[in-house]
Amino acid sequence: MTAKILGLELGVARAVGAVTFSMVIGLIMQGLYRREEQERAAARKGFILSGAESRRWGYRRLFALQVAVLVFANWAPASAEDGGAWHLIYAWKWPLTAFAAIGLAVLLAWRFRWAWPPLAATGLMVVALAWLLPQQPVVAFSAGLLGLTLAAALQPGDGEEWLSQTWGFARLVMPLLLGGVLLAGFLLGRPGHDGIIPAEWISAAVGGNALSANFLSALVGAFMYFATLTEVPIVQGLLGAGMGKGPALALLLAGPALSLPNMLVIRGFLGTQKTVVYCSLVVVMATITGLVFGTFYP
Amino acid sequence: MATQPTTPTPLDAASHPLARLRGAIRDNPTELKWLAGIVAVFLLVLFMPVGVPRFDNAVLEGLALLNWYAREHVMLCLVPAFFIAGAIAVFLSKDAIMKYLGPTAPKAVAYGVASVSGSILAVCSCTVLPLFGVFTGAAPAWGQPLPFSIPGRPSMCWPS
Repeated sequence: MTAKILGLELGVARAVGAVTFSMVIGLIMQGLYRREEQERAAARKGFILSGAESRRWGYRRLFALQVAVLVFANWAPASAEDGGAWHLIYAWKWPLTAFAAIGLAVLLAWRFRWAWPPLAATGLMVVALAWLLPQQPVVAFSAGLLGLTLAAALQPGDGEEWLSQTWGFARLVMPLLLGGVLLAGFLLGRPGHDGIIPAEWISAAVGGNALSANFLSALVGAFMYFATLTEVPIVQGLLGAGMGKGPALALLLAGPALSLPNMLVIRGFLGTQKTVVYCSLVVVMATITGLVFGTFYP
Repeated sequence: MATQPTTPTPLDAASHPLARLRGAIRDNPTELKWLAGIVAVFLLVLFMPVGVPRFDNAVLEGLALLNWYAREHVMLCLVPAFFIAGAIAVFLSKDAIMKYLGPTAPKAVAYGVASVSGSILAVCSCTVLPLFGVFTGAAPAWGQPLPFSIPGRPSMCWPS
């Protein structure tokens, strides 16, 4: 989509940039923290290795099905002429999600030997809600999640452990994420709307290909929260308002990679110092990439 | 009842009020943080320009973004991502993770696996985070999990 709407150059530059980015930043971070890494490797204690050998192949399906549910439930909309397969899947996303979810329930009951009544009850609930409220698939989906939670809670051993780990992540991530989104909205507004920082300031500052334009673009992109695939229309609008191609690329690279909520959460995992290093690296690399690109493709 | 006139205590004596205050500050860092926080929030709300249209609008924008986020992202991508991360933490053997993403894995493999899985799993930027958390816990060579965050979303845009 980037290539189609914003031009082939930007599309290719973005894809190449994104992959290179990740390698380079990963390597730099590793290099910077090599000693600490070694200490961690030496001190690391083992994970709980759960389940017998014979259940090993069940795990792959477990993950595959969960990921399938996630991917299909969030399949991005596309109109019919954009690409046959994509659109077809989009039209069928909920049946596909349901299919994957049923597979998951069956796997849990059969291979992992979970008690089947809670899973069956969940299934019935989801079907009933899907039938009663077909315009609100989120309701049926949420009921499914709730059912899974209960089934896991009632399942001693791996069910309980799974739930407790899941809760651990939720407790760590949710407050930071929600607070971050609120703050991001306050500062920069929703896409297409102003927050406390006026849009004119931003678009006035990112015209041309000056270092400052690229840097500002990368910085704003790093903080701003971009919804899936909304960065392209935003950049389109900004290009129309006079943004240079270099800063546009900087925005495309830094935008999806980071946002204020993301930064807060990452800080929870890596600590403030590493997070600052990481975010700075992203901004710097986005700036440089944008600058270089803008020089060759003004 | 007349009080005895007291001789002034030298500044460095332990019982001097200033020294006691210094000690109290040093011994109670949490209380100090609370105090700082409360004062900061109070000053913030004291001075915030309620009534100025730009400010009011920004507040509404913040709430609007939060509302949109809660509707579109939390149930459908964030919560499933938490479950997946939890499942990784419980079910995935440490050996498998170490084999592909640990410090002894060949760099190309580790980065490759991280990039590809980052692309698939990052359906929305928030799903990457719980997974990132699992891997920073699991793989000591955490340079590898970082690629998750970055190529995930842009690579998802490839097919579109």
